[in-house]
Amino acid sequence: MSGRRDWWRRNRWALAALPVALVAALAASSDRVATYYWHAGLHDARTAGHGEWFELHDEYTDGKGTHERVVRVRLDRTAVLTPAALRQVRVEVPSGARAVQVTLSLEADPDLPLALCRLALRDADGTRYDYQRPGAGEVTTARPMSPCVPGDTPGPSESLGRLDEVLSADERDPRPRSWTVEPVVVVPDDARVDEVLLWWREPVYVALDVD
Amino acid sequence: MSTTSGSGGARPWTQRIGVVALVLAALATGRAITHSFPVEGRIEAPFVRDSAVGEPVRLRYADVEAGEPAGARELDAGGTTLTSPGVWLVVPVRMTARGEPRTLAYAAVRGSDGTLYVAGGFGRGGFAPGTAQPGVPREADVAVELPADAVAGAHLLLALDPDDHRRDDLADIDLGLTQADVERWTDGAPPVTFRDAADAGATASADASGDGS
Repeated sequence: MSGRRDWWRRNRWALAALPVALVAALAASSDRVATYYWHAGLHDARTAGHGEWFELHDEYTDGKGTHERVVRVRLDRTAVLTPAALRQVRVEVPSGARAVQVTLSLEADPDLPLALCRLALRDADGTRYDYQRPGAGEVTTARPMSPCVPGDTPGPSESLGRLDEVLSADERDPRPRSWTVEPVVVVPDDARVDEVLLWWREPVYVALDVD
Repeated sequence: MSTTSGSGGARPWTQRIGVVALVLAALATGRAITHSFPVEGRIEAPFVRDSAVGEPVRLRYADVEAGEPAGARELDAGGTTLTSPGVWLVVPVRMTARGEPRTLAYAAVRGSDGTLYVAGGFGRGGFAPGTAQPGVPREADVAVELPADAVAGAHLLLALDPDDHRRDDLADIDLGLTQADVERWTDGAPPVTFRDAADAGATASADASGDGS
């Protein structure tokens, strides 16, 4: 009897350390969770309500180091295009699907590289419908190369370090401080779109409520 | 660890030998077990979903369905005609992505000889479906050339990743081909066509389907 109590007393520090050791062991062997899960998808949501301006603060790394990315974005409206409107914007939609035009207003410093963005719609089930880039010869205002910057004045590209010197200069006008884009996303007829997602670097993404 | 006291060297010596023998026996048993049950391959094996032509099969990332295969000695791909000493096999595939847009990148035909004929391009056939939007079915062809005697009983395999099929779904579709099909195809059948991938039901102009704005 007293032997058992002695055992507890003799081993009290080891027993207290046991849960700590367990947590430490799990943490030590889960470093891959960051690489293979967290950074490999959209997990860091920055949400904004309908019609509200949202300011995104994030970082990006290019040939010249790590920089801050500050963008303000607002979802103006989403609208399903009528067949007449589809003909006007020259977008093809397969049967059983419809085209949703997303109108976004954005504000950012003209020197900030923003062209490499991705846009998607997400419905209540969590299914994601991406904006799909057109082929090189099929770019229109409704299907631009980049869904978040103006087609004529996309702004600078991310620096390639020493390669910048050998690249020919971009002769286009600088991007305005604020602009509006209206890319078109094809979704199936029965999709109930809940949110518009916009992201540059996973896992950070902006989720804008549709309603 | 208690030490034996008293009766001299004989007991500790036999005890130690006994412990060593038990440890060796345990190691040998463990090795025999892992040797006779090859767990490694099963842990990493893909989840094979069987199906047949015309039967949709539900994979984690998409629903896919293979249509009637066609074959001939010659393949017409984008204006180029490719002749094969074996048989060109073209299988139309219809896929509907699930969850997020998917780009299926693996198609292969497992011939009756057991060999895997992967639709890998190199200018001869292939499988290039592009990105399928969830809920919007997409149609693409798989074109593979294989020896005529491997065609009867061939199966079509479809998967998402081009190289790594571990622990993910893989469709195994029985194409229902017989020797009669092979003879028909090698006996002067017209060339089979390899069509570019497209959304199912895609129309040249805007669709006038009755959904409101």
